[in-house]
Amino acid sequence: MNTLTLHASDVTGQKAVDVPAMESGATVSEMVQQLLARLGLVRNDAEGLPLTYRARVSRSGRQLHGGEIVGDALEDGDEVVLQPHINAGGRASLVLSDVAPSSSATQPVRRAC
Amino acid sequence: MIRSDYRYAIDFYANDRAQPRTHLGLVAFDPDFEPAVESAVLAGLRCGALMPDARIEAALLTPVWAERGAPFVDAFEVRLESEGSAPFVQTIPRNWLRSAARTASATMIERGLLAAGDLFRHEVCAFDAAPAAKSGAAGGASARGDGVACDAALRTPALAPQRYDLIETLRDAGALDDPDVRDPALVIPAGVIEQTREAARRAGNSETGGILIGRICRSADPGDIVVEVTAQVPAAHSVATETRFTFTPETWAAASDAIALRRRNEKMVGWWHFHGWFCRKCSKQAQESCVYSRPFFSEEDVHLHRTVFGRATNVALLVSDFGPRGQEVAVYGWRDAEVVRRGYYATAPATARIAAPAVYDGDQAGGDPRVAAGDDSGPAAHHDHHDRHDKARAQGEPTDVCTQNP
Repeated sequence: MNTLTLHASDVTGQKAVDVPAMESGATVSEMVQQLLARLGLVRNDAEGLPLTYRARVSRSGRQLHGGEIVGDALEDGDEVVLQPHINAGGRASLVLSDVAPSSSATQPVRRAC
Repeated sequence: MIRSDYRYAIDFYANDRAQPRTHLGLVAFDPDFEPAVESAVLAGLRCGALMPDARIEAALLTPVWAERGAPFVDAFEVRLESEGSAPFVQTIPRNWLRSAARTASATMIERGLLAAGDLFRHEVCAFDAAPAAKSGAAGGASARGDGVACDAALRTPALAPQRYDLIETLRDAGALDDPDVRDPALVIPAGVIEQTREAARRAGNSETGGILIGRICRSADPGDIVVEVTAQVPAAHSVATETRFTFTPETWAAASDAIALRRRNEKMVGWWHFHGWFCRKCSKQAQESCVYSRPFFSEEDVHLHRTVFGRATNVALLVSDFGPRGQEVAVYGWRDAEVVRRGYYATAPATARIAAPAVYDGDQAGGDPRVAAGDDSGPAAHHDHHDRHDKARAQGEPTDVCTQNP
C-alpha cells in the first residue's frame, strides 16, 4: 500500500505530529479524522455537535476538499494544517452558579474535549 | 502521554432549601486533563524547571484527596517528565472540572433527579481503575476522555530567542485589571487595544473579532515568562451576527498568511472578539442586575479558547459595549486550568524593549533562583487571591436576565 509522510498541526502550530505512513488512497475527510485523533484536537462544539475541520496544505496554501484523494492532493513531506469552523459569542452561561443547563431537558449535551 | 490511573465521577447533591445536601447520585465522566497538564507545563517553564520547546515524555495525574478523604478529590498532582529536566510536580485545584459537572448534570436531568435550572452542589470522586481500564495504558485513551488514541508529542512552549526587558517596558506601561503574579505578565500595545475598540465601534450591533499575534518570551530580569502581543489580525472571511461570531477555516488561513508575510518570528498567541450592547432595549433597572451588563466569557467563548488556544500562555481579549457607559475591555487567560479574567499591561508601541545582548543565551534547567510563581520582586504586584468574577459569585451573583435580549 502506498503511503505518504506528512507533518500535521493545528492552526496555531502549538500541536504538531509527524505521520510517517498516511494511506495515499484515503480521502481527505478520512485523513482529517485520523489527524484529529492523532493531534488530540477537540472534535465537538460547545453544544456537543461535531466541529468541521478543513485541511490546508502549507506548501501551496490550498484548502483541500473532503472528497479529494490524499495521494492526488498531497506530496511526501507536506505540512497539513487542520483549521476549525468554530463559533464565539452567544449568551452568557448561567453555569457560574452551578445551575443545571436549562437547554438540556431532553437532549443531554456530551462534550468530548 | 497524559495518564491517570483512576476512574472519575461527579457526585451530585441537591442545593435547595427543602433538601439541602441531599445526595442525588454519581455520574461517571472522563476528565479533560489537558488544561491541567498545560497549567503545570507553564508553571515548570516559569520557574525554570522545564526547558522550552522540550518534549514532555509523560504526564501523570494523581488525585489529591479532600480533607474528608477518598474518594473525594480536592486537587490533582500533575507529574511531568520532560527531556533535559528532572521530574516536575505541580498541584492544580479541581475547580476546572466545574464545566464537566455542568455537562454531567444533563444525566441527572435524564434520571429525573434534577430539573433544568435547578441548583446543585457537586464533588469530584476518584476510584482506582482496574488494570485493564487504566487510561493511557498501551494503546489506550488520550487525555481527552473520548477513548481516541492521541500521539501528538506534547512539548513545552518555544520561546522567542531574545530576552524581553520587562522592567524597562513597564516603566511607561499601565497596569490594567490588577495583574496577578499567578499569571505570566501579558503586555499589549495600547495601539492594538485601540484597534480592537475601533473595529468594535464600526461593527455596530454585530459581533466582530480577530487574532492576537505575538511572542512568548523570557524576561531578562526577572527571568519569568512574558506573553508579548505585537499585533492583531482582523478576522477575515468570518461570519457575524448580533450574538455569534464564526472563525472559518479561511479566517485562520488569512491570519497564518499575515504572520508569514510579517516575518517577525510571531505566532498566534490568542484571539479577540466583541460583544454588542445586549441590553439596549431593556429598562435601566433591569440592566443594573443583568448578567449581560458586564463583560462575560460565554460557554462558546470558553470552548473556542479551549479548542484553539489551549496552551496556558494563550489569552483572549473581549471588547464589550455598554451603551452610555461606553466600551469595556477585558482580558481572559488560563489559570490553574480555568479560563479566568486576568490583568495585563498596556504600553505605547515605542516603549517595547528588547534586552541587550540580542543573542539568546539559552535556558538552563534549574532556572533563575529569583524566579518563582509568587515572587513579587519583579514588576507584577501581589493581589487579592480572588478575581472579580469569583467574588461576584461568592456574594451571590444576580441571575436576572433582561427579557428583551436578542
